[in-house]
Amino acid sequence: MLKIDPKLIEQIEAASEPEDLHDLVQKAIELEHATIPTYLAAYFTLKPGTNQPVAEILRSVIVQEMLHMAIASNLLIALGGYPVIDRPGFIPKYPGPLPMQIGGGFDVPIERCSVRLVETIFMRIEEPEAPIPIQGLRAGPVEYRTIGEFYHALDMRLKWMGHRAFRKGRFNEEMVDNTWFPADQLFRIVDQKTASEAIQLIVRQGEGTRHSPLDPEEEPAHYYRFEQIVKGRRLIRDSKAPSGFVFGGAPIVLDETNIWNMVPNPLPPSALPAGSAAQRASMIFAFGYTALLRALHETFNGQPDAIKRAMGLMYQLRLTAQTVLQTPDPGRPGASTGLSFVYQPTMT
Amino acid sequence: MSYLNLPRINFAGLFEADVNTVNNDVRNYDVEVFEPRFQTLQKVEPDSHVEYNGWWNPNGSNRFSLIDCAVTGVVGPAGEEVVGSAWTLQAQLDRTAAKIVDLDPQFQMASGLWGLKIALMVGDERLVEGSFVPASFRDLFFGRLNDPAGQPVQGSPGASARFTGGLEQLRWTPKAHASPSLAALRASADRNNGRLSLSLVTYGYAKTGAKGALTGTVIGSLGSWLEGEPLTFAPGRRFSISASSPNAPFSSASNLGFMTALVTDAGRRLSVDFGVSLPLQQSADGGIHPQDLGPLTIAVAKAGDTVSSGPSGLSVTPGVTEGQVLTPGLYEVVGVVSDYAQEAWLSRTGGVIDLAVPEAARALIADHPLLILLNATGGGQQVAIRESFGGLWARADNFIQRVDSAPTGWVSSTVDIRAMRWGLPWSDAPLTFSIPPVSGQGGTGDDNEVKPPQTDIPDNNVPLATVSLPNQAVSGADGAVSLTYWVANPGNPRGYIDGQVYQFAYAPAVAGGSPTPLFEVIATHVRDAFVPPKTPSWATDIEPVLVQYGNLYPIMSRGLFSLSDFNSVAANARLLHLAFTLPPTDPNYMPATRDLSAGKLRMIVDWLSSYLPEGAEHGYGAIPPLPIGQSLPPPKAVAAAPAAAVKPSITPAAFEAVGPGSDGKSAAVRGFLRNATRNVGE
Repeated sequence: MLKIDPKLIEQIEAASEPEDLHDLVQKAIELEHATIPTYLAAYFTLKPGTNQPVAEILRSVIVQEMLHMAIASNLLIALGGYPVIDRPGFIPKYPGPLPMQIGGGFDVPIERCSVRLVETIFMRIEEPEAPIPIQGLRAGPVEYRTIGEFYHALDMRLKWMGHRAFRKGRFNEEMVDNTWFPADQLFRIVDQKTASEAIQLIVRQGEGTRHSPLDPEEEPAHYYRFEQIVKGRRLIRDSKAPSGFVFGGAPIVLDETNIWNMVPNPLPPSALPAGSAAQRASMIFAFGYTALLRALHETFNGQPDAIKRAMGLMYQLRLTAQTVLQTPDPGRPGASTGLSFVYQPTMT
Repeated sequence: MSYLNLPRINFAGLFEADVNTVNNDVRNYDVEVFEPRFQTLQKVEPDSHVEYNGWWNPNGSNRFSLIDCAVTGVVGPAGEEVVGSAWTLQAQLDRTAAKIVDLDPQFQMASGLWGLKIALMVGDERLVEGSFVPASFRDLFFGRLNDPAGQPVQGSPGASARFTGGLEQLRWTPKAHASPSLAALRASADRNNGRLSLSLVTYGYAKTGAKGALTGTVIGSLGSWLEGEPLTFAPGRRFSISASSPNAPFSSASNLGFMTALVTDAGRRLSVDFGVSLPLQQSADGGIHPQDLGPLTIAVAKAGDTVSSGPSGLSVTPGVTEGQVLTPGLYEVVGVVSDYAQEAWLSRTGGVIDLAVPEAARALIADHPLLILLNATGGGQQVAIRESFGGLWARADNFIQRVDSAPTGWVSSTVDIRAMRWGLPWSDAPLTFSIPPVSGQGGTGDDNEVKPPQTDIPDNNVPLATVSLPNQAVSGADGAVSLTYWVANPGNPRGYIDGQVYQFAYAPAVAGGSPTPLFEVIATHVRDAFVPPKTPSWATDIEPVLVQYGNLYPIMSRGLFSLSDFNSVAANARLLHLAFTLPPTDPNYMPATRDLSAGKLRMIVDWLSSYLPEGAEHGYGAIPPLPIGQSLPPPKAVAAAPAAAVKPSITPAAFEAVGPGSDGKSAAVRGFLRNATRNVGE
């Protein structure tokens, strides 16, 4: 479970003007983004054309995290703020804690895909406040404030502010291109009602509900979606099981022989041997990732059409990731050069 | 005037070109005979036979990147501006990589850059950004580079070329104001359509090498562009090799390539561009610098050229010729350069030097030929290369063309050509045009090939009946010729690949004139007329088109999704719809080769539309309308048969420079040279 600093929720509850919420919603954008590199790295290390079920689970979660990042950005625009995506501090340091976490949090790495990674990191990131025990899983007591509570507090505070919260919104600058996300998930936030719907969507897609592991689209919430990889079977309905669900569907096997051998938390391009193929490949990847953040920044700062450029960059990233992983790690025989998610503003 | 004018910002660094090579061989377009091995690397047998397959980089993405490009010199109107080491040139800060592609597998002599966006930066901050108007390289010079042992590097690794184009949609940041040179460039752009001129020279490209895989060196300059000027080359004074140079068609006897100079400030300043001309030398550490030819003397000949007009047209007799040894009384010196044979010189200057013209030379410079002189072995100065005879030359600007033909009637396209005389507009210049026979290009045509694709290499420039090209034209007072040609549906003459490539030869019609460089042709891909079906189906309409792209670009199916599989295409309909509806200037445009007609694009988009999710963007986006044919206008009256255009000879040295290499460009150029040799013989 993401244990977040209770002070953040206190700040939400103390906000009297929409401007008081800008920094907090910016943090939410940063948090929604922060999981993407770690999920992407795991996804990219699956060799193309192999490990399809696992790849599809990872990809589907990544796509929803991107949606959540977009929703949080739209919300900030609706509240009159300006999302800041193109700056070095926007990318967390890996391994390191996710944004908003407090002491007792855990470090999120950049690693090749493995069952252990999914179980100890990904499921921990997505753990709901009260996981539904399916096949013997037990819920732990709630000790800290959670990201779900953060969003809930935000929702409540916007209700309290009412119309006032949106009077400086630049609604036309929101990105609502339904080519990429359906209209019932990505829509213009123009008032408290639409804001509340958007916030609830983020929480439910991530955590499911207290009563069902499924999200509103009848898909397993992220936590349970990942758990399928750990359990090795798909989540299916089972009326005989106490929770109504069981990991008893089609097998999901992670084929370890078709995962690139990337060492955890790869060095940034600047630390690789100067002029080496590894450095070149790593730099092109990091530069492409930075370009993607720039395109997203432009998307949410007055050029919503720039999402098309961002889409191109996402697909290019997939191709360049394969180039990086095909390049031998100069320091470790048999290993791949690693994917480095660092801010690389120039190809220099 | 172009990047040769001041102020000028020079830069140097590396470029990476991840070119795709399955499409290096036109026969790989034939889906009927395509084999999976054509998507794999070529194999060189121990007996040096080659199984070409997918040539040397079948996984290429056509990505073009700039790497470690530093600003190396800023020349302002008042001399050098010191900007420190923090200025760099970057590309694609917020978009996918630019693409480098050929017009067609049967015309690989002018690869084009698409979707390139440049940013001049100081540290991590932008000074100015702009979009490069797509341009193809020209001045392709094989045999320019020697290896560390002094032997010519054969094939593409030994070749060099120049891309010149406009830089538009400029965005200046307040930081740019602090530099007088940038302020002057901005003022120039504000007066001239918001445009600057960017030129990139590439050399030392290699599959593997000291600089990295698929990497070469790039140097270049950013300068002003003036309203009315061509985009893809610098107007000015053109140096030409002798038609009978032993290194023809690429370079003079001293191995200098075609080059350009510019006289400004009422004859007081001469800027000479050696950027793609001086022969190069690779050192043991991989660095590349100009070969040391001894002091280079830039001079003006005292003897003028004689241009006369007779019943059979213009003819020119030069006062001085290439290779001639001159005594000091025969020329006036403008300047001498001795420190050029270093990598740092080339980087710092972009190969361009600016000289103050002394009084004596200024008296001649307006209408006497410029010379580059080298110390002659027996004393005196030998002409290493000279300005074109009579100062006469002509060059097409938009020389790479893509034209959709119509189902009935004719469609026109226009090429802008500039004729110049001593660097000024050449009015009433007679130009001649022709369509020579072309065959055997774009495959290997080599004896060492084994297991080739089981299909023929199509001929080009046929049918002739569907092309209407004037055989001559005369420039206006501004030296400009708008050459309008008309095409009808070629009717799929190549069978397995769309449309036809036509090469139009052009040249000033001047007897005894300087030769037009071999690759200076107008190349146009005329696409087959195509009417999209009302309801396209996968099997009959879509699959045949997409399977060909799937065959030629294996990176798509290996890294993203298969283009030959119905389910994966349908599942990715929204991404494909976006890519197929972008303007060709967008780096994400599909197909990357930019060779699909509007009709076929519309058909694909129609089909994709039924697989788009609810709420997705529909429509044809930037796809042009279907062409509407017209009736062919009557030909203009022809005055007199023009003098034959002068072409450089095709020497054994040219074949030697290209070598037997198995890269696509070399093979294509070998085909081109063989073809040109045949045509000379006819």
